[in-house]
Amino acid sequence: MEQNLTAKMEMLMTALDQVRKYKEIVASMADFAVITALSIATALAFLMLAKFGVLFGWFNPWDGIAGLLALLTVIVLVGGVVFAGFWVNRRVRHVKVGQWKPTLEEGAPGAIKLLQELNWENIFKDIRRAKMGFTIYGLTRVFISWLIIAVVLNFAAGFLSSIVHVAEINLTLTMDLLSVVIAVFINRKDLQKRYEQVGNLDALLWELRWFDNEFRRADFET
Amino acid sequence: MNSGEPISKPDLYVLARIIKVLKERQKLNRTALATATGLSYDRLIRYLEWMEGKEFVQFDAEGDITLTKKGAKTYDDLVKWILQYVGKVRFPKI
Repeated sequence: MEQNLTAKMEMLMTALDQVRKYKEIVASMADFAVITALSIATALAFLMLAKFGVLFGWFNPWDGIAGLLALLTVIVLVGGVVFAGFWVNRRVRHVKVGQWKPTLEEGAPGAIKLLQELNWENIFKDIRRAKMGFTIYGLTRVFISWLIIAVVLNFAAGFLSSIVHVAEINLTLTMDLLSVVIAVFINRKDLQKRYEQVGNLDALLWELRWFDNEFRRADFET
Repeated sequence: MNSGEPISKPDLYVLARIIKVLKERQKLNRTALATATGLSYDRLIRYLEWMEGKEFVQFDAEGDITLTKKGAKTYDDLVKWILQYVGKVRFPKI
């Protein structure tokens, strides 16, 4: 019976650790946005420089500078997003988890102590934030994928239009739509996973609300 | 053995620790029990007074403490009581 209790408590505490990690994803979204925005701004600066450089005749479209600027645009954009992702991952990995393990090793007394120390209101708040974080994370991922694909496809379209003389505006529109479809397609599994995680977090929230309500109302008579 | 303020509502964690140690070690003197439970001597004495009043523990002639059947049953009931609630919680894979 005591082992059942510690096993159940381990499941509870592990779930709460996971919520803490998810909450960190939300907290690191600001960092993610800043890094991504900086890389987009830098990439746009390179792109503008390449466009205006050709337009004003600073350099020839076929010489190395324009190509280098185009390459830098993609590198900065992709590199920025990869670094932002790495940064979020690093923050999540640094979240302290499993600190309850030594307490739970005491058995039932440890389980009682952990239950006494849980701040349910904060836990519910964390779960709500985690749910929001997943939604934002999923949408941001699609947006960034779309942005990268759109830049790459539009580069390809620009290159193509200069060779086969197709109206650039038609190609840009086609590539933008195509990049939306590709971005959603390559992120479909992740979107589905986030959707399921949000649903599971919702279920956990309801379960814990029930537990908190029942446990708070009950009183152990000695 | 009077040592200050009596306990009105015991901390279940402390209670469970004392009972668990007594269940495992059968018989202990107060100092050894204080060391094993990590409680200060004064606090332990107050809990033991309370537990003696509830017939959870008893003292023998040498002053050693043993757990009564009632004390052991209370511990099992406490574990069962918590498990009744925690056990019903389903944890979705998140």
